[in-house]
Amino acid sequence: MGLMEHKFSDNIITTTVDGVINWARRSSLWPVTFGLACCAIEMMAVGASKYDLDRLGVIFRATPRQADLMIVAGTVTRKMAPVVRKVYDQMPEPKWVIAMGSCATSGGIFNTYSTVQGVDEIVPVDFYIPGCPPRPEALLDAIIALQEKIKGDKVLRK
Amino acid sequence: MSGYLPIALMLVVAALIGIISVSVGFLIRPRKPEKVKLSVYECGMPEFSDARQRYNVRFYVIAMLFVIFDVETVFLFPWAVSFDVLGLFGLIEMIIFIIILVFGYFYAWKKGALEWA
Amino acid sequence: MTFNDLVAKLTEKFPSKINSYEKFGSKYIVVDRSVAKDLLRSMKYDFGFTYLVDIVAVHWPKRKEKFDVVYNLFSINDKLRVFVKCSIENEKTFTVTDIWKSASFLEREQYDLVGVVFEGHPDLRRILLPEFFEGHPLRKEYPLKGRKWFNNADEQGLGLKFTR
Repeated sequence: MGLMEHKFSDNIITTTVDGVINWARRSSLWPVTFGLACCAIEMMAVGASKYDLDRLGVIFRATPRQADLMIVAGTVTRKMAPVVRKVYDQMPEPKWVIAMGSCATSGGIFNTYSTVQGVDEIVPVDFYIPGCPPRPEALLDAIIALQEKIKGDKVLRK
Repeated sequence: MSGYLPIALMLVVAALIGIISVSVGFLIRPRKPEKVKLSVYECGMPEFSDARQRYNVRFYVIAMLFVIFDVETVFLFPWAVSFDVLGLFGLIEMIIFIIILVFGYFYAWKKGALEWA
Repeated sequence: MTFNDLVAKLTEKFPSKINSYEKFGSKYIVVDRSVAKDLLRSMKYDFGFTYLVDIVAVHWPKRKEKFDVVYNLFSINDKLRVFVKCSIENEKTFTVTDIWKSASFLEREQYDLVGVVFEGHPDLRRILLPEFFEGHPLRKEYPLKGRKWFNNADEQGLGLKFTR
């Protein structure tokens, strides 16, 4: 725990400071690029010019060390599962996970011998996006919903 | 002396900005070190060789040459600022200084220190 | 060279060991196992089928010849695609890596998924599934949803436990 985290009760100063901290955290969500299959193409489309992600402060980082969001886009097989977990573990706190598409949410149509039925068997997920693949607007919706969730976070307050 | 007041103020402000942002981050950020979090990143796979491998000595040679000629440049700056005061005597002195260093540069060139192949 | 020319020339070379037919828009040559490798070699060097596109192994559990190995060959100059089928009794068969280098990975894939062992292959090991996997999933008796092996090994020691 940080030295001042979760130590104060609610008053005008701590709520304002929390508001500033949460504003900074939600306006600069940096995902680690974890596109595994077809949903990665839709994720690239969201990052491109028509459904711009840069206007939300989202910059894709190639390394988990500088990222605070992991968008698991695509089918996770049993061989890839420890890789997903390790990259998640190597991200520093605070971190969030979005499971994009049916395969990351629940294995999708692949109820087979090698597919992990949902990435929430491996990492804790904050938001699930249904779709095969989800529309780019759906991914934008998930990121905005995540921003709303971060808005209500308590950093200094108990 | 009063001409230096803005510089001192700028130094103080710059130092404060750095100190405040780093210490606010230190107080607020979560701290949860775990063994896996601190492990080496190799795209999620376990690493198969040490990151400290042998590399060509030309990088060291170029860095050494840079340091030497950078120090020479540092000596050239005060002469450039007070050029008119030092006059002809200063010019001849500096030319001799530069010629001595040019001999060193010529030696490094002929020895192959500048070959990047 | 059309397909019929090719079949005519091949039947000259390997009499009574070839059968050919066209079905579903594709051209098949069914060859006896004894001359299969020579036929494939002659397909590459004499008839110009320099591109081995794919090798597929099919499992027939109720038949005497348990496996069918199908070679998808393509001739770039003639734009002709031919499937060469050969049935094998048990799972051991010859390798074509000395004819086409691309067979190296293609045969590893069929070994991994169906279990056909290619004798003479330089490096026959699993390519798609993890090393600790046991069995061959594309055989008819392997269950489609057989996921019990997920918890058999924890490769990186991260404490993963799968429940579905």
